Amino acid sequence: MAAVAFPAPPTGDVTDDDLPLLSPQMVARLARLAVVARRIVAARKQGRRRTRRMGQGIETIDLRPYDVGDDTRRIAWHAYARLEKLLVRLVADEAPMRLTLVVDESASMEYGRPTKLRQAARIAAGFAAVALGGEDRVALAIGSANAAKSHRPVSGRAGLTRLLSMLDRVTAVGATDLPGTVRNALDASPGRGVCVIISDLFEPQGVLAGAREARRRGNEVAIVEVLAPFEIDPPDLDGFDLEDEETGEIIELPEYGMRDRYREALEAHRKRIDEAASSMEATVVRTTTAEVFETIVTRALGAGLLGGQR
Amino acid sequence: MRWLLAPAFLVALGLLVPVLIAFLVRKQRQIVRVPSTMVWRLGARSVAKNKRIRDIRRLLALLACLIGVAALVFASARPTGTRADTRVFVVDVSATMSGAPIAEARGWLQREVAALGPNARVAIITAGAEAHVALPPTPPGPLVDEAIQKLTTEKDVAAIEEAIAIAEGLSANASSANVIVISDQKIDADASRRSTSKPQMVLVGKNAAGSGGNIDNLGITSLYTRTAPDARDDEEREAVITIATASSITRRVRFSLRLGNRTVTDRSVEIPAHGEATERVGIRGPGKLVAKITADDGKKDALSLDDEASLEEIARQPPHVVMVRPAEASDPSSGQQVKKSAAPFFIERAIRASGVTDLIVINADELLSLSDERRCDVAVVLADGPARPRNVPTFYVGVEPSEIELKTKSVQKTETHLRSVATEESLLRGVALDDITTLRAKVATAPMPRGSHALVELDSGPALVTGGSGTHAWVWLGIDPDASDLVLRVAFPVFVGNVMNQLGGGSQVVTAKTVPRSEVMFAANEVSTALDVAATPKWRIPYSPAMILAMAGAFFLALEAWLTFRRKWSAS
Repeated sequence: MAAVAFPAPPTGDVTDDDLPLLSPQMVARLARLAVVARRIVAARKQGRRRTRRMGQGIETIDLRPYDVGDDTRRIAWHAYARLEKLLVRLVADEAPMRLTLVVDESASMEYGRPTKLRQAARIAAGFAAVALGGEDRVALAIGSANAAKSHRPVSGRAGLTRLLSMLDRVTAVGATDLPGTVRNALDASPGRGVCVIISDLFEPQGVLAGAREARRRGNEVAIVEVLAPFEIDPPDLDGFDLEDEETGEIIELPEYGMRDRYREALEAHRKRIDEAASSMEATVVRTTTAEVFETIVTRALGAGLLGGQR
Repeated sequence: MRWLLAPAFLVALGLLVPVLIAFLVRKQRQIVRVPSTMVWRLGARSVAKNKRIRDIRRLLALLACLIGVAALVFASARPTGTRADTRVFVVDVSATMSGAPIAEARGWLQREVAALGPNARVAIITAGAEAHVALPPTPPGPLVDEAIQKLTTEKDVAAIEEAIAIAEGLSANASSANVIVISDQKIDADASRRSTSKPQMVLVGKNAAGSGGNIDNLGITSLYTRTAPDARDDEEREAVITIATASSITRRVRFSLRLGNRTVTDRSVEIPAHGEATERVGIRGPGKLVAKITADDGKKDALSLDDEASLEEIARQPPHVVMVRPAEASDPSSGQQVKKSAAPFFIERAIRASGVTDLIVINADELLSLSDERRCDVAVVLADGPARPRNVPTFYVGVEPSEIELKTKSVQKTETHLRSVATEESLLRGVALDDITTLRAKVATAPMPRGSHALVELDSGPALVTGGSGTHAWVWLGIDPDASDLVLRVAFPVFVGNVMNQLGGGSQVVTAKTVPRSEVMFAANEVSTALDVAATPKWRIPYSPAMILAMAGAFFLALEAWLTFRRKWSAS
């Protein structure tokens, strides 16, 4: 039976996919992201993320009436002058953020040029570089239905090297199982933080099933949808049979009109994702394999993807 | 297994090819691997199928197609039915049956034959100008279908009675036989010689003659060419065309006449209601002469078969002439040569002046060679003898052989005054005989031979008579050329030229085959007691394995078509 891969399968030519993730170019790009990260840290006081827990920080987040036993150093004298009431300043506790990066390693991520998996790995590397540059701790989970592996939270420059080494060895295989991957990662290193899921989001378990799992365990969630350009604007495949890379299922496309119907279906699919993300107060950033990954990371940071304190 | 060679079987077998190709093409649909079919599936509104299940489904589809085709093949090769009687069909193929009626007749026949069983016998007699056995008694099958398809109309009336007689003769020995007449007009029961079990009939066509309908039709009822009465030469001829209409109002037609590639005339002609009009058009030269008419008043013209007529106007060559002159003899008493007649001299000159180049002059006592006799078109006989060619048109001058059965008598000067000249006859075209002096002549006496008529009469009787037809045509001249100034007149070579032209075929009338007037006018037969009308056959679905198979096959084919195109249909 005739079978072709679309787009054309990888050839023997040296492509961007064949270069190591830690290539000099890649390191240089990550260094630039680290600078960006430091600027963000400076802008956010000491590079630490605020928590809702009141602690020893200096930034006032609220005021409350004074009570016996309160630290008198925190009395808001300016407020007393205006209101003639004793109020104490509540300041945020400042603690290092725990960032968990979840990368979908399913077979569907093998598409595009560079592949969606490679792009996801680079985005993850970029986030890791930013987070580690901000003195946060970063954990990494990579997996599909076949296998899931995770790396415990790391910090500092040495930690980045270990994460990049792990990201450099990813191989797309098996069906998508983001809930399992998230579960595996959070089981290995319990705790709360920000969980960033990088995937094409073709989840047979349901819309944002992986994100729901992370949210259920008390994490803030951010989502990066990575698609190949042809998945957004497909060629005319009317009359073709499509074989699912992950499941081997075949569907027969009608003789005409499928392109428009696909676009409508993709729009509906994304709308469901947005609705689900909104219900979880999660940020969704969409990108393709054609976009430069630094741009994606920058765009994601600008969208508050790693902002914390929600 | 004769059906294995049936055209229907072979054609239906050919259906297998596109079915297989269609299957293979579908099987070869390209498969594209995509990261996930999730979104595609949402768009396609289709349930994903397992590869194996899909292949099995296609295999079943192919099997269904093949079964369907096979069943249809079997059913088409063997028309089903159970009736085992003999049917003799008399089909009217006259001009009025052209167009829709003959197509209707074919359809009726096909339906009727389809309902007959394999043991039945079918015969078809066509009733055109003559009755003709188009199909002898034959079992239903491809031969019958072929004969039905070959039914075509003729430009003639229908010899219905003759055809019915043949049909009744064919069915005489059959134990159960029916004669069915298919025509566009009612047939009188007297057309059948049987006293009982008369034929039945089927009326076809909306314009059925005699049905009381008001039929609008225009047609050419006659077309012929002849030498024009007032022609200046033999090449000048005229075409005479008669156009008739069956309409109850005056009709206007566009009439065109083409000779070869040249349009001779193209004009509008009015035809009176239920009448006809005759048009005369001068023509010159050889070629195919085509007369055509079209309705010019926007009204209907029921038949197209009668709207065109043609004939071949041939180029006329001067005839090969053999002239038999009297033998030169000497007077036995004196031993001197008898005075030589001047008639052969003048006649020969006149013949040559008429354009004849191949002229053989022999004496009456000589023998004509066989080759000369064979190529002789016209004989000019001044004296009878063994040299005279037989069975050719002949111009007799003072000679009356027994075969023309002409009785004559010799008359002298007092009885040779010219009394009448038939100047309207083509033989005397341009011949002026006024003040002719005749001292001696022979005149025909009664009774004149049958079919002959006098062209020139003297006081004592006819001196120029023509008669016979074809190769037996003759012209007899009684005026003695040696005792008249006829040969000295300008009229003589003109007269001889006319004789050569007429006897040599130059003035013959060429007639085209046209639809008879009765057909153009849709003249209804006088019917006192019409034949009974046969029951209209209906498509039947006889209970037979072949038909069940065919229906199952058709169902499977339709199912497969639905499975293939349902998405497209639902999308549209």
